[in-house]
Amino acid sequence: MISCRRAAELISKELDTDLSFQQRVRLGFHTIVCSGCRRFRRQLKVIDVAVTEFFEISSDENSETSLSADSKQRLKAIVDSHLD
Amino acid sequence: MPRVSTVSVLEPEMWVDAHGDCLYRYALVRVRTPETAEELVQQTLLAALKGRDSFKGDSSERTWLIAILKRKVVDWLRLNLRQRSRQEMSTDEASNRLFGRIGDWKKQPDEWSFDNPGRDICKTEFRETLNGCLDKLPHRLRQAFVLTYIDEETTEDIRRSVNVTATNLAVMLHRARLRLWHCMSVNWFGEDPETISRGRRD
Repeated sequence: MISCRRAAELISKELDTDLSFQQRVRLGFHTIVCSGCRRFRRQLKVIDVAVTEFFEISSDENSETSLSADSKQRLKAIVDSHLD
Repeated sequence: MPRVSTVSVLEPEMWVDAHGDCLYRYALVRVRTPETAEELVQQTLLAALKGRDSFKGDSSERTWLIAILKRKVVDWLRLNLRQRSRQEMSTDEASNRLFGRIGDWKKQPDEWSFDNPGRDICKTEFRETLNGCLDKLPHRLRQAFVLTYIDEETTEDIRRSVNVTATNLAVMLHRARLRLWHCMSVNWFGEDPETISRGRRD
């Protein structure tokens, strides 16, 4: 029986790649008997989807982060110098 | 009524005012440091000026600029990870905090009070919380993690491009996920009085 630490590694790994047959069997067996790791697996999938969506959205319109006025002046000057 | 145009045209003299902040924010959440984000925006503008002829007008100007920027971000992350790939993998404190000596959970994962991060009211707050948790990751873990999520290559191609072993990349991603999971469990998905009354879903 694999430990929860090892099960958690496999739960993370299955998000990136296919597990081997043996790994699937071990993880499957572990999660049948371990409710903590079942929960962790479900929650890590939620995180995975959330992160994917986070990086799919190009940029947060509501964010107040912006370029400084100086930076904008500088960038505009660079663009302008290439437009002549 | 929003204006609907079928073919977009480029207006380079307007780029910085119209899209500068958007491009900057896009870069900043992915590379974290303001200087790098600004540098990548600059590179994007220059590349876009050079490649103006290749713009077909089938996407919006902003979409086109973002696509160029995305490429720049991926290249930067790859280069950065490659340059620092010799760092050894020490034992992970985050993992040791969560698991005991025999590899059992020190504290079993709690049931989250809700499982759906995308409730409309909270979208901005959710993004802020997630961004805050991403920012708590150590630099290198964050870079490897972000690259994996934005690069469209397979994990195998990514690890080749940054010159790390498959094991090392898997270890980094796992460490990043453990930390992120823990941070989000505490800061977003934990006890929330408003949602508990709606009952828990399993």
